[in-house]
Amino acid sequence: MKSTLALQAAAACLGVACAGVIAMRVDPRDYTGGRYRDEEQRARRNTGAFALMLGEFRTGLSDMMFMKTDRYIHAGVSYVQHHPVMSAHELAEDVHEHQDELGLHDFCDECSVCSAPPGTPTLIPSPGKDFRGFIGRLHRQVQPWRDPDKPHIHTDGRELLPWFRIMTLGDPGYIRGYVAGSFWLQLEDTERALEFVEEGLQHNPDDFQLYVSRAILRTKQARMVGDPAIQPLAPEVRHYLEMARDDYLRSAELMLRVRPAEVDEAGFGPGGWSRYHDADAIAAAGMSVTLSRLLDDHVTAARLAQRYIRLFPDLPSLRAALEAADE
Amino acid sequence: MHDMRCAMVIAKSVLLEAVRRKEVYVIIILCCALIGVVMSLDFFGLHGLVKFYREVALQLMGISCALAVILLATRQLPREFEIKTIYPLLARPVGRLTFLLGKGLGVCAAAAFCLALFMLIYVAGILSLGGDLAWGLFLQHIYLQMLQMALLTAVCFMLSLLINYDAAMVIGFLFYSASGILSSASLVLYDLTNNAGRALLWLANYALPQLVLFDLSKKVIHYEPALRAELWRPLSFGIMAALTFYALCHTLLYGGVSYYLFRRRAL
Repeated sequence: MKSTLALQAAAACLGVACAGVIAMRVDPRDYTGGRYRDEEQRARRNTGAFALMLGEFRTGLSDMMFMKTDRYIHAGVSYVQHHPVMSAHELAEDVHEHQDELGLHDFCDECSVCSAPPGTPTLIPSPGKDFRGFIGRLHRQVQPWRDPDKPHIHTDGRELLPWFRIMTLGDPGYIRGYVAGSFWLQLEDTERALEFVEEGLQHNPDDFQLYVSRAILRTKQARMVGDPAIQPLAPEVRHYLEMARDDYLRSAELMLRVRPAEVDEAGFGPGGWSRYHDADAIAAAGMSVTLSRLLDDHVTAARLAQRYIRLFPDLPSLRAALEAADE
Repeated sequence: MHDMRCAMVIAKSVLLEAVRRKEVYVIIILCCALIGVVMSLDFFGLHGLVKFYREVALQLMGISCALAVILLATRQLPREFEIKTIYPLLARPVGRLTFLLGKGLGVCAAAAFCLALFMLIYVAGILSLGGDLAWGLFLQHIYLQMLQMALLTAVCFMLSLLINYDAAMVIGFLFYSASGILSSASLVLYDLTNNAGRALLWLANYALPQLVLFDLSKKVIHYEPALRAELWRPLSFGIMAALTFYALCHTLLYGGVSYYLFRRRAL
């Protein structure tokens, strides 16, 4: 009896020791899988044993966590949706419009941070659309449910952050997690948000959207140390704006490599290109020119405007830069 | 009166066996270790992330508790037959209904023991994070979880009398984990299917116990004092009574089927 107990104890100790060694040596972020635009690379990756066993599961898990963040935003209410398609730039615009308003008990009718506008059906159907009768009524009482026609309730984004941490740990190629996560994190701590985006860039050095995210944070830093509208720019403001411009520029150049030739007016194109990508592409092109002008680098601004106007002929910032150069 | 006393004796023996076999403790320790690992991650240096803790803890504890119940409930009857302890028991003036009732009460008592330990740990965690517990919702959640465990016990008894122990355990766990998915799927399928399909879905909706109705954890997780007035108030007495009635009906139905199968079983 005693020897069995001793054996069990020894096995438990060995197990704990092994777990410790594995935990020290394994970093989930070492995983480099994820998604590829290149079909050949994707096919090669997907034939690997680990990809077959875990690849899709990991990606699916990140998506599930991303959807969970949508539920958190709505105080637990599940709306029929989907993957919110907010680009880094759109999120940043929301900062200007809603940052002061976001917070507990925030009722808004048309807030783009919220991916589900009022009227969006809930996962648990409304009484008129539910065939389950008595059970449906109980379900709506027990689970967080709200009349879809009522304005949504929004919570602050702080409680979402652990999910962004886990989804990017599990799948470091999950760009959307870094983009949205850094948005919510910068409301708490800009420096941490910057570190988070840089972690994303380490794993995805060629992703143009992450550069847009970093540029947005640099611009915020510039605003924190001074007013970028006042000329001449204070040295610290200039320093941050230069870094932001470089990021936008890098982003725009990377974007040129991946943006398909045919993108429709709504921003959708072949190879999975969507409005979510195109909004950041436009931001990268436009802001690299705008910031170059703000930094008094008109020659670069004109050169860049000339380069990007082919893609975005109607973008006011590019046209303005070209007109200024003509004058 | 004599039957009730016999049932209580059998229930006590089931509870003692569950406590002695240490499976419950192993499940609790594993669950706490998992929660500990998740909570030990650095979430950008932020502290007091109460909702995240609530979600991780309540989900893991709910699953672990159900797992303990499924393990215990599916084992009770096959084990009695296997080690032949049922023969001396039933040779005494103990009816099969009393025997089944005692076993069921014992499993429920073990579930209550497991749930109580979990909830103590959960409360300690919440208090250490400085979070709000939402007592009303929380107590209702515990009560509904107990109803769910009773229902699950009846279903597992039925399964263990229909099929062998291993299969009953696997199907019991599949039923528990897929119940919510089946409920959501029926909502989607109803719009896509024809009249016959709709009739089947309607029937399945009432015949199969909807375990999602006993899961108040989402409201507990997303409770915020500032939102209380607007959204997550504790459930009314009428709703709690309706849920109790619903659980009782299904427990009696599946318990009744179990009794029928048990009675027909040759010793």
